[in-house]
Amino acid sequence: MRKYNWFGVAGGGVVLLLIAVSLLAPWWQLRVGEDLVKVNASPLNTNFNFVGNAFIIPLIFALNAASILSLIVGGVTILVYAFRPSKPYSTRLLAFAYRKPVYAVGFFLLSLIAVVVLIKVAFRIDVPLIGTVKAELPPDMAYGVSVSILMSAEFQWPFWLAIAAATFCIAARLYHKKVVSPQREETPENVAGKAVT
Amino acid sequence: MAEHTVIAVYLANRTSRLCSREKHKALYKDNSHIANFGGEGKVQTLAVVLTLINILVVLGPIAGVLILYRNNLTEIVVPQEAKSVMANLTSSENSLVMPQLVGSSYDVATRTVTVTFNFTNPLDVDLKINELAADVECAAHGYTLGHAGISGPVQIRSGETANITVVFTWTQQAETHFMEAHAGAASIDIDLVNLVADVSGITVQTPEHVSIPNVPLPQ
Repeated sequence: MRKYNWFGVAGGGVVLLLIAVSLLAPWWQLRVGEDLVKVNASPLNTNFNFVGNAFIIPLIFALNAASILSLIVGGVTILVYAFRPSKPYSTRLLAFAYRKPVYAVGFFLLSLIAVVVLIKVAFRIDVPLIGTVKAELPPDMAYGVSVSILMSAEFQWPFWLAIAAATFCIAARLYHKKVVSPQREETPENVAGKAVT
Repeated sequence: MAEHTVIAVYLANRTSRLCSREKHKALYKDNSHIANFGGEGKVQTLAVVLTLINILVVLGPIAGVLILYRNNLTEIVVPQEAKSVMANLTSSENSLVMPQLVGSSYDVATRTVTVTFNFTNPLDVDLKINELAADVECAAHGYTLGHAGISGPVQIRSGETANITVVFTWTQQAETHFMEAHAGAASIDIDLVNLVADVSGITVQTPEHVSIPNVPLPQ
């Protein structure tokens, strides 16, 4: 009976679902004021809305496009692997694919933290990663006037879907050892062994 | 026939090595045995293809954007749209205009002055005035006369004009001050202090005094 890596099937499926939903909903959203400024961020689609005017930053757009392509390739590859985990090339496919959602989540979190820290260091403004704060503008930036800005940030449900995708992919990697024992793997010697018998 | 012999010898060697579980694992991880059967070439080709795909999907979009914006590389980070938004906000046509006085009324019984302003929202986003408040002082004597503020949040849709009603309630002590320090005066100059404005979650509090001259006194 052919054996599948069901974690891989789930991982690949969730990755492809994640790509679709991430184009519509961000992983993380920051609201400044009451929707005066909105930052919708994800590795696949990052855009800004500044007092009703939406725009994207081309460099971030390029990185988003790279992430989309990378995750599409990764998602399809892990699906191909998951349905044929015992082929000689499957280990390569798995190694290539399972890291992609993990890296996407990791790099996204690191970038987010880096940006928040950078804003804190450069402008002395506390941007929350999660929750609501009233950030005070530094006095030298506010020309003697006290300005406080309501900011709220939260991770949206596609982020948790990304975590699920990464978890499934890691599980697929770990489960690979169980689903394909050396005897089961269709390595050339196994194939040759069958031929001999 | 010779090939079968080689395979048989190989399998015998391998079986003996499988006695140790650790050796078994090490063998499993090692793909070098594939070379014996010509499979390594395909796997190596696949590895090269996957690496190339990796490079292409990462560098392709970045290269594309660099080529698109090759004449103005700063726009890769600060796009024209962002510049336009900032320019629109600071232009004289769209900049915020101070609220215009519409009218005022007194109610001596409740010691309140109701002042109505209108304000046009020039932005592409709705505004909500959550708070607009100040303490009112007599400009000449620095005497606190009372407190002024809006009674509730005011929503102003994009491009629309709305009335903002500010209610100033003066104190009993203020009446005494009017009678003692401004007896017979028809109007006084006042200062707004501790001015607080909360517009759509952005709160501005100024230590500056905002002077309003010739405010008529209730007779």
